Amino acid sequence: MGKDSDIIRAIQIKPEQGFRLLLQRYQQPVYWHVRRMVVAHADAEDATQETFLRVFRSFAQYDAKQSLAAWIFRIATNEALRLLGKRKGEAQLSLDEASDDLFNLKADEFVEYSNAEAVKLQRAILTLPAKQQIAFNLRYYDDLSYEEIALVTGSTAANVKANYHIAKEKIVKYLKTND
Amino acid sequence: MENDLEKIGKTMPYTVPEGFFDAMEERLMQEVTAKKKKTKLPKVVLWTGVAVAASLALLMMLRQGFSKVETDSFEQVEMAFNQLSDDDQQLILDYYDELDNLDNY
Repeated sequence: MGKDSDIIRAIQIKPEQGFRLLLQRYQQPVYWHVRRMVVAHADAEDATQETFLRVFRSFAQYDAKQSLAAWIFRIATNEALRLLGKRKGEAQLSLDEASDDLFNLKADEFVEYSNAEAVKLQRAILTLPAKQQIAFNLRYYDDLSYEEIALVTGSTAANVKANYHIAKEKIVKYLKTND
Repeated sequence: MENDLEKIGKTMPYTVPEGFFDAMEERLMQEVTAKKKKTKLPKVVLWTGVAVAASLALLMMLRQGFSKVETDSFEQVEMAFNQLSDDDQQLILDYYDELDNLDNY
């Protein structure tokens, strides 16, 4: 699995080969990021595909001085919000508008309800406000830096850090109190 | 404090169909190969009392509705954080750095 700098160089030299490297590095993290937002597998599949087509089409706009992960996750987040907005009848939800009533753990054949603890954690995360949810997920699951998450959420690293820890405390509390 | 979270770790209750990622990768490669003919790809804490106090100050500012998980939006935390003095902000950030560094937090 290539490093980001190798992926960027490869895309510049041989776009298709470089894009394959990018997919191998980011396809699964992006899918899971989107999946945690939209929950349903089919929706996550749609948003992930759109994300990578957009990444490919707009690679010229990517500033190589910035984090590739943050740029890709930002596009993925927007795609997930666009999809959720479509479900709600709007063009696209913004991170500030997205309300938690959209984020329900819907019945889906690709959800293992038998894993009660993991289901509970996802429910806890899904009760967070959207932007806080994304900050938590990107830190907890994807190990992005606060600076990178700030690029995704359009905030500052300091505020992301504060929000991450507040979110974590709320989740721990939820896990303790909701049996 | 967060044994439950630690126990669950990064395990998720979600699954995907078998061979899903390989199939999607191939589908995407086909898509971009087809598109390439039309579009040319671009070249492209310290644990000091003060730190804890500052952190508590932030929590206190968020206290209203804190018992409900769905409150304290990102913006509320952002607003409360921004209202703190630079020193208090830094203390909180140092405190959170410490938490980040603690395996057991």
